[in-house]
Amino acid sequence: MIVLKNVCKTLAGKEVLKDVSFHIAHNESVGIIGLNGAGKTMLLDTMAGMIKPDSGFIRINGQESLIGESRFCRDLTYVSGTRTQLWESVRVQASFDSCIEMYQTDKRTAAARLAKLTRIFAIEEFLKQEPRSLSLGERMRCELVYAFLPAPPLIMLDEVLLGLDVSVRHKILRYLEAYKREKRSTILYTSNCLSEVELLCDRVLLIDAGRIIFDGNTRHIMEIISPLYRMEVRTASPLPDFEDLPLERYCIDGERITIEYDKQKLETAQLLRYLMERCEIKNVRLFEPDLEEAIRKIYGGNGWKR
Amino acid sequence: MRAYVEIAVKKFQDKMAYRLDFFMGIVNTAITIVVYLCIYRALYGNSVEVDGITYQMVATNFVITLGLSNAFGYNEMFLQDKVRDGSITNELLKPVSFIFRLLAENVGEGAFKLIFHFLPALLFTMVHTRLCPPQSALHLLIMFGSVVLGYLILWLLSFIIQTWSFWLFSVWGIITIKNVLVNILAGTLLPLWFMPAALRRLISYTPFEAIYFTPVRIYLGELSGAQLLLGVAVQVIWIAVLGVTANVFWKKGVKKLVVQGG
Repeated sequence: MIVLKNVCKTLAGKEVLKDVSFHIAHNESVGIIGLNGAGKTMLLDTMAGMIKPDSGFIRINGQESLIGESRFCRDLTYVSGTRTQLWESVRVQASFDSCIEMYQTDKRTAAARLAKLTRIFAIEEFLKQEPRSLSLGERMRCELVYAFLPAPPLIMLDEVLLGLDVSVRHKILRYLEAYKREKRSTILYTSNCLSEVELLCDRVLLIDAGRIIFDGNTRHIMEIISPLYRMEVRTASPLPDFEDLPLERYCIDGERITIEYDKQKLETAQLLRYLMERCEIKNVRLFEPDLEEAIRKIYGGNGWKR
Repeated sequence: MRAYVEIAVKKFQDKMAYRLDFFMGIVNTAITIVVYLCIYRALYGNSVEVDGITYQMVATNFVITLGLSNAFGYNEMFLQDKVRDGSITNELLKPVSFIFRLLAENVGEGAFKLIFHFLPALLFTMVHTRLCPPQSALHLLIMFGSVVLGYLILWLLSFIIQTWSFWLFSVWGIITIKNVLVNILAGTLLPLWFMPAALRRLISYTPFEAIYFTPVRIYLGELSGAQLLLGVAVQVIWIAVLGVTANVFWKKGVKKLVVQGG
């Protein structure tokens, strides 16, 4: 489906992609993670043909990446927070109609799919509005409907959950997860949030300073980078006895307990259930392993080897 | 193809939503035509014809050229704005040809203005001024086709200049110069009949004559038979030449865009 071979790009004197190579199979869902400025968006833009690499080879569904070529563009949709796919100053519905025409989607299939997506993303009331009158979250829901409507061979999602509230995030994540299971499209998903990627992607490409530093399956990377989750609990009642739980470490400071546990051995839900059965919890905070730490681990040691 | 038709229809409907724009368009077109007719009425004074051209022919020329040029206007800064704010990539990611998609949108707007601005203004003009009838029904029909070809020439000229936005910071000045040239050389200011012979000859080698003047001459019957075919052929040739040029500039512009990274 996607082949990149030794792709390099220098922009304004800065190497933004360094010798990037990978293959992605049909209907695989791949997370591209990295810190800000690592080159995630640059990589997607290059695959979409918006940026021409200085050297190297790219094929998407057997075609050269060429922006502005209908035959190539029909194979993908690309959602990002900084761009819009909707037509400005016309109703959102008109953009969807036009999307169905442009992607040459079968009318009946598309109508059914649109009805379903409209329900799932709860965008019924926005269909008659123009994109500019929608809020960020409302517009993003419409953008995602637009992207999934033609069900193209490749769907690229660039930081689509950025700045959205919890309920919207949840709605979107649930849909993406279900769509991934159906295996109808190849999905590329960039994020700097590990838990989203863990939920949505079978495979992860970790990119740092324009270089792919890890390429492997999601469970593998989760094992390597940080098995340790940290939970901070405030309780109102005396503390339970933790002895029968496989915790790595815990620390009690008055009514506050900090627990570190390995997610491979102990599920968060299991730990919570245990706590709730035994004491009265006032507050819980959960700290996921963060990406920066993960990248440091992959490089080995604390030093940044670039 | 259906995607483009839909874009044109969408623009057409979009224009219908603005009622004030609708009435102002009629007033604008009617005033432009009436002002020119008054000037030429005064210039003609009591003479029946000047250089073999009657006032009625001049009036007909102005109704057609001014009416069409009012209807054929649209936002010529579109591409520049898109290139400047980077939203051109949104357009390029859509699986349609940008050239045809933009053409479709402008045609939708033009069709709206022809029906809702030009036609009412034409009727208004016919109340107070007698215009020449078309040479024949066939001439009228061919003239309609020739108007479409004229529109394409005008549109391609504008598009070629718009593509220079990829290299220049602003194309506004060049667009303005082009519009002045069109006004003078295509006969919307002074009918081409009254141009000095040398200049007239020069103009006949440019695409400007083929925009409005060829349709006018077909309507009046000045072009018939072989000459009519030649006139239409010249229009088609200009479309081919300008079309190829536009495509070259467009492709080069997009290439520059992707090499420099959006």
